[in-house]
Amino acid sequence: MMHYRIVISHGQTGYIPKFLDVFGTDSNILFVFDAMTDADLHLVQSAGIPYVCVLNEGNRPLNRNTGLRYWEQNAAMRDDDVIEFFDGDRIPVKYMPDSVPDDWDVLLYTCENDRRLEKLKIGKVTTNVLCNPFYSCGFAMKYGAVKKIYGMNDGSLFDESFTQWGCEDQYLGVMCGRAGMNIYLHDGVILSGKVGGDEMSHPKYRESLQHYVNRLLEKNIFPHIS
Amino acid sequence: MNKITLTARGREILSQNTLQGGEAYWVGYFGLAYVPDQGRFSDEQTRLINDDEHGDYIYNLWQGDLVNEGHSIASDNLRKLTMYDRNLTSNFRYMYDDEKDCNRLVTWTTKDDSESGSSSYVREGYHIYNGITQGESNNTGDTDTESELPCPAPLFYAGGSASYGTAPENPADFMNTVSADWPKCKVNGDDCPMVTPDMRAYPGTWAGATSTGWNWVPQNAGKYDTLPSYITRKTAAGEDGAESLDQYAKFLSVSNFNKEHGHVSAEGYNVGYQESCHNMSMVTRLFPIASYELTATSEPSTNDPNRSERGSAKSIKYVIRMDLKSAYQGVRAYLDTLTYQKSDTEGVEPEDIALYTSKKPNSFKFNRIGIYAVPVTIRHFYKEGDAANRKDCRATHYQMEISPDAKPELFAVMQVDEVCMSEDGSFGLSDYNTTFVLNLENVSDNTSLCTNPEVYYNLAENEAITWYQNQLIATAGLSEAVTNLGVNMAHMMNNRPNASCGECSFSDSTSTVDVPSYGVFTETYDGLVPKSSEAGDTDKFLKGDGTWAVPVVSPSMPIIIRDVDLPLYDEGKRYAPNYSRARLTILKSDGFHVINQDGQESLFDNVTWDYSKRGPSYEHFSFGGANQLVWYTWGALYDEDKTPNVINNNNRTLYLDTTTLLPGVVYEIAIKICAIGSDMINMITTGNNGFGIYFYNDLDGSGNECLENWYKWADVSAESPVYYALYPNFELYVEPTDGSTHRPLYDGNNSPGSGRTEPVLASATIHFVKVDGKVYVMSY
Repeated sequence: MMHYRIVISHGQTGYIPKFLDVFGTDSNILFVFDAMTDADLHLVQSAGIPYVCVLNEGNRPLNRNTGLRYWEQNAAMRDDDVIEFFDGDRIPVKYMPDSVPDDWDVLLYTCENDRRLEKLKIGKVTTNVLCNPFYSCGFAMKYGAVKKIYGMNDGSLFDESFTQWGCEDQYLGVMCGRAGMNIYLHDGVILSGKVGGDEMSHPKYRESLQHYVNRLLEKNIFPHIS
Repeated sequence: MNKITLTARGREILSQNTLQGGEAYWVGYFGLAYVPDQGRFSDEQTRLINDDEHGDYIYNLWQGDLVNEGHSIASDNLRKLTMYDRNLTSNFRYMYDDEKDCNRLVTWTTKDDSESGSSSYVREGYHIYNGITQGESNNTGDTDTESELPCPAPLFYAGGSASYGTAPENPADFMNTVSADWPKCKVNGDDCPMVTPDMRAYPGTWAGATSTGWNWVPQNAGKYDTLPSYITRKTAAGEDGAESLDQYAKFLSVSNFNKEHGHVSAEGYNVGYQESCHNMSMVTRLFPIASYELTATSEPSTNDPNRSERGSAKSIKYVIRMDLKSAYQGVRAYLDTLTYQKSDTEGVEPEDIALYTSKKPNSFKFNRIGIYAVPVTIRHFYKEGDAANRKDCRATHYQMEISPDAKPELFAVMQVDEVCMSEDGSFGLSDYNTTFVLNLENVSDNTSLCTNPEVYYNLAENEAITWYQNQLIATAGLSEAVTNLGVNMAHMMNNRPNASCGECSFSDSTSTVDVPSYGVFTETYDGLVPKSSEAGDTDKFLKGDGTWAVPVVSPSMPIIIRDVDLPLYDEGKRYAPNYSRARLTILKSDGFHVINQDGQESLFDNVTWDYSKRGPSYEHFSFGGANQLVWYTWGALYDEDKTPNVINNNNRTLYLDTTTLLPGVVYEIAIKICAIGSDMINMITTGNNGFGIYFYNDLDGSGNECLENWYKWADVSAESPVYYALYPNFELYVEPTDGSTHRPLYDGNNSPGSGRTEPVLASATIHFVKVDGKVYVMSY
């Protein structure tokens, strides 16, 4: 079982050395830049690690999918291989990803200040609800599970029509839930920063929610409550 | 032969703009760039800013004298300073670097004469201008911006280099075409030059040199929007023109643009306003086109004397004029060889160390000129004395304004045959004048235009274009520093309908302080006069027939409701109404709208109305076609000594009629508690009482909601709890500290008594959607 890591960075240059401190340079870690600076380039080239540049559009689903396609084209991934996604400013302050049940498909990493833990316990969770705990700032997914989503989502893991901040992960969470995946909220890996509460600082968050609802209804996967 | 070609974006602009409609653009800027030929093109040469080793390679610095004595508030010196046509060659220069084979922007430091005790301007040593860096955070968490040189001061360009009152030098004169009553800007009693520095609060910029060089530290960012006290603001008639000038400053100010777009930290990503690095090096890089004329135009499309004539143009002739003559007699000649004095040992005479040998002491070097277009908005205004005639609309005038947020777009590129650079003499390029004619015919036919390979000849096309555009983009921050409202850019102007009676429903966007901000109304249209609270029913508007009615919002319209402001003063006295209030504004992408009772839509500016709730016996709030509500409600008021006192607000609940919610629409309600007293804090944070949203029809109680920000209020005695309402768990609230029982929290830099403030003490936002008859709360 191999680990393939994808870090999407939007000018978060200062965090690159910290990721390399955690994982090392020989760790199948890939940086996806959508606002690459000279300093970014210098750091990844001097470290000899792969990187991908995309248009500076801030499209996080696209950036993550781009990273995934890179590994698919450059590594012979098997179904039990693990894809890990990190946002460019989420450094693992604790990294013990293996302390989980064997049946996991998705691991939702927790954060230092994690409001999900006010409602949920560490362990198996359901994401087939409208407000689900699937946050994409840091999570792991078996490649076999990724391919299941491909079948539900037109060949992509993340829906790239989510161009505003947020909700692309909630949407993925609903799909994972409907696919019957085993999803664990996992504290074996703890990331820096917080989860929850910052959505209100995004002025167009309502539009993201609207798009989220629209996509759920279009795909007929709205998690109705009976 | 010089060539000019439209960019792809230029073609789009032309193709999208006709006399029948489209967005209006003004083509009025140009920028310079130098594109080396293929043999010299390298990655190294693409470095523009913040390059410690090489400095700026090409940098259009039209700031004038920022190092020398000219940077002073004395009026006579002011005119030697920051005027792009003077003193430019005094202190900044592109020097050819043999070693790097490129030009570098350098300037000189002053020298403190220890014997005489005075400073002189002997140019010993140099600075490579490296742009601006972000300094360390201070003890309040703010981050200063530092530069070894004073940050380039934004410019107001007003059409010419002469002071106000002088005959305009070219048709692009701003002051005399917009309004005869446009306020003068004075410094120490003298008129400001038509090209002036941004004289708002940048006190650090004239703090002078320190022993370690120049250090510029911006003061309170909030002052960027105000004018310093030494500027007297008068209209031509001697009346107070403060507000007009403030408006002028706002939409002309590059720093206003920068405020929105320059939030770049040292690591390159966007940060909050207070923490941001206001990178002034990104502004003030575009220059006004001296004049231009339309050739072979059609007849003007209107005879309305109040509007600019317009027609369709077949070509535009641009005149570019750069006058770099230095009028300052104290300018010294430069040496061809630059040295600085170095001494490592005390008592030993300094040694002259050669830094550069200047082959060509270039002030500027360019072989490309970029022509920029910027979108403009047609505004309507009334001249003085017109207010009494508003109802019949006869006095409506037009003007075009550049949006402060609009960024110039590269419209066309001129290729200059010869690389233009300064002369070999000591004063560099004295002037540069040229004329280009841009053919607008057959713009959709690519074959009629110079193609990029022709323009960029031997260069790898993509690299050259990208490199060139990056240069120009890096210099393209000055969207509002230069403006021209009276130019006949016929082909590119949106053809707006004439403001005849019955069609005029525009509010006054340029009203002065003594004119209330409301628009005209007719028998058909709702006006913009909200019914006063004394008259009751404050959610209604006055119609032209004298009756009051509630504006009807079409459900089919995607409408955003946004708050504008909240009146905290009544005759200079702060007060809080004893009822909850929501102030609503309908905002669409192109402005403010309202739908009348007949379903007809009208465009308004700053339309607002109040929605009030006075108790459960009143009607429930209906969103109509809107989907956002910012609900201000009150918990306390301030005394004159700024102490908040609790008042009894019995109307803290917003009642929603969920039967009117549109299925699948995500609604947002933001509750903002204003001026709340400390003894109410506990009440609102526990959620046991106080402010809430009551869902009139139903509320999904399945536990599907994520309610970290909210509490549900339910009757838990029942077998199945009945959920009544949601109460916000406010995250932002006032905590009494340091023995003070009241410590208000303010947005921005406002404080009690400073003006119109919104002391929002607590806020929470909730989202919900109705699907299949159920309301799902979506706040996470």
